[in-house]
Amino acid sequence: MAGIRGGSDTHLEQERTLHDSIALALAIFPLFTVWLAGLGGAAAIYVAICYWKHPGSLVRRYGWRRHLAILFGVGEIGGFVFAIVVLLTRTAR
Amino acid sequence: MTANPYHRLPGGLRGFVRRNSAWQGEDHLLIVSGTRYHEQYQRVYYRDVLAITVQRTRRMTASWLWFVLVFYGFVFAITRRSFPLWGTLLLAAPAMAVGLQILFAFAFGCRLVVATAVGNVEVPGVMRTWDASRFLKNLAPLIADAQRWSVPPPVEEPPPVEEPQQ
Repeated sequence: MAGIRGGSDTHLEQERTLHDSIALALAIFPLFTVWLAGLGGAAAIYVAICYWKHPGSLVRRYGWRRHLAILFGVGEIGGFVFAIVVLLTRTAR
Repeated sequence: MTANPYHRLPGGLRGFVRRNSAWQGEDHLLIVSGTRYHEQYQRVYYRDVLAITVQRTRRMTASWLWFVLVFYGFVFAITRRSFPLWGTLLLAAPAMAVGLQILFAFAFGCRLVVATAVGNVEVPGVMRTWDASRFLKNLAPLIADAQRWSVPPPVEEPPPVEEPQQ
């Protein structure tokens, strides 16, 4: 049972949570609602980095989702900051 | 990236949320079910397989591509007032996709079950007869190979015991 829970042996594992897919979803889905993009980007970066060492899928061995999630997250936060700066400078005039 | 010990077997559902697939391992079949964000694994070792049954039944599948096609057709239909020829053809595509899906579900739907000594395990990703036949074609040699040596050797007759002479 320890092997099943701890994931020490892949032959005993019964389930896995795909944190890379969660991070990518957190990065992409908030884009549809523009105002949530900054929050989603931050959450995506948090999940991608916090669960970086957690194993992904047993059958999918490539990790581009994590990298893409971080890329999207950084872009979204950058866009969010840029939008706030633009709004502040316009209201200050 | 490490080498993947599994090879994908025919069949599989890539739904909007749900995902099912089957993978061929070195000594076992790995059945993956769950969602985009969580996977559950079932392993069936080739040496334990007693039988594989394919049952014809109606099975509707809905991959994310169907959802996109239908959604696109719906949006196209409600945003257009007049339909040019190309628009009508484009609108017909999702309708044809849904029609084909229903036809496949009724004519070629199936359920594949692997029987073992401890119970039956359904392979949820195999939903069409052509997937089932390719699945069996891939798996049959592996099962035969794994079970080649599992038959115990014939028991030899013990030598007759001589009765002690009195």
